[in-house]
Amino acid sequence: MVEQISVFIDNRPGRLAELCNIIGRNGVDIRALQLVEAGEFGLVRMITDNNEKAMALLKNAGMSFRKGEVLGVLMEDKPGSLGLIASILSDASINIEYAYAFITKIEKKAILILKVNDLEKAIKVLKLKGVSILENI
Amino acid sequence: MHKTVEEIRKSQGKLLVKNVKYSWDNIPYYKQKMKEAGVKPEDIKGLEDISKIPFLSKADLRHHYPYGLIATPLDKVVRFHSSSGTTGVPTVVPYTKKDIENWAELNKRCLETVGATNKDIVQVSYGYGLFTGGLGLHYGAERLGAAVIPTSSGNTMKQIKILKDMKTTTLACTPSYALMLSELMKANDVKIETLSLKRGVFGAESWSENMRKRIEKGLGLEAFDIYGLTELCGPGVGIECSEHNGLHTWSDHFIVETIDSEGNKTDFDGEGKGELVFTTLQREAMPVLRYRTKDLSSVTWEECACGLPHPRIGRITGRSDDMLIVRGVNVFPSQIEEVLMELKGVGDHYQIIVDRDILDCLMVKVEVTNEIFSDSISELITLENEIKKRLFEMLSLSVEVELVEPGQIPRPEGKAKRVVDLRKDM
Repeated sequence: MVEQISVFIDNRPGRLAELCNIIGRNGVDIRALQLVEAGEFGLVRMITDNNEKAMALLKNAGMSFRKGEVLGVLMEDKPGSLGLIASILSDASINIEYAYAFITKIEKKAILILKVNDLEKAIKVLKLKGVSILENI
Repeated sequence: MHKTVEEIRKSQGKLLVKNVKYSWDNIPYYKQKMKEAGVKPEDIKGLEDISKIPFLSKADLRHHYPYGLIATPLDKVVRFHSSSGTTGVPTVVPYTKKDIENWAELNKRCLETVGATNKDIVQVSYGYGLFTGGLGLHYGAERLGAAVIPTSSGNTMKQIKILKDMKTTTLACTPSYALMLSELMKANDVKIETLSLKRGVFGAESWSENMRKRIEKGLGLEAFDIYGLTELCGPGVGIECSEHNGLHTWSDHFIVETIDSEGNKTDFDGEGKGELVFTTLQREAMPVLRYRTKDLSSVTWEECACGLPHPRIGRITGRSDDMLIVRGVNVFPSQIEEVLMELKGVGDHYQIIVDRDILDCLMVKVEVTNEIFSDSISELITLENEIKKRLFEMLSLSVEVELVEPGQIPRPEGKAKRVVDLRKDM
């Protein structure tokens, strides 16, 4: 399981830059990030190399955020691997609420971040099929 | 002071004396209020004694909902109207047959003042129903002998067709609806030359000179402001004449005074500035004595070039309370706060913004605190919709809701400015 921080931001120019600067200028590295918009507001989901410090910085900046746990999966960076993981989950009737993926420094590997409706069950079925679950990224 | 003015004020005094006695005899609450103030009907000998009479507020009326202040037996009542106010308890106003006739007469006079005659075709696009606007102008126009087209509000394309095909000469509606008609005409390439409009009677909302210009240009008519309050009868209390320099209030039906925020009389010999206070002189079912309108304006008996011997009030410049009038609906910021407070974590930081595009729009910005923040977009949208739904239930008005980051609502001197009204300069 991987810790993720979600932050509420207004959907207007400059807000993402400001948010990233708050974190980046204080030496916290954003390892993964997803930006979603819903009309006049948006949501940033991110995984950093120092979540405690990132949260302290956000709190200090007066922002609304929440820490949560998501599923981190290491997968092959090749056609079909995302489909395979999705199928394993769907066969077990697990719903994916959202997901984002990115390639890594490890050669031929990609990381998939998943939010599912049943985290424990998902870990169990994925492990059974030999998928490697990450503790951090 | 002009001789006739003196005479008019003297006869107002006579009607006042009669009305005070009538109210004392027939409305227990008025009697109680006057007793508490140490006033008896015989203390009121003329207009000069009016300041001895205690004020009546909207809260008094609401407190006696629905039948508590009716002066006549219920079988004399032929009609009820109710204020557009949505502060929980509405203000119910009863009318006897005579009250309805008088009300029609006042609206007839208003229409005459703006130049309408029995040859005119009057389209009443005010809402019909509990709201007084539609029926008030309807009865006035009929009494004048004009032809009434009772379209009520809404269905704007159809209204434009009627304006055009039926050659409407006189339009009665809210100023924002007039503007909406003109915008829709423009959008559909309906030229004002195809219309027969001469004049419009617009009220139930405050509007500026700029808005008057836009309406006049957009509809090709002369725009007149009409004043009224449900508590006094509805529309027909005051009307602009062709001088467009204040609204004449009918002196045989109303006494108008002004007071300051402490309730001290600020008009002397009929001249003054402040909150308007009205006393009805001929109402049977529910006379009102010194009703505080909360509308800020001025009053003058100075002779008007039009020749009407009725005092004029200035256009309403604001409110002495924080009530907002949005699309003709009375909205108190406290009602919005109440709704927000019901939802956990929502009501701490919010801002109410009123603007006018064509119609008034009401927007509420709510800061998303950690407490209500969710990682799920759908949950946030659900929250937004829930706030909208509850505000609609409270206000009967659709409100835009916007979730914003914490700290986005300015807090001058540590305290948030709760209400921003951007309509002022329009």
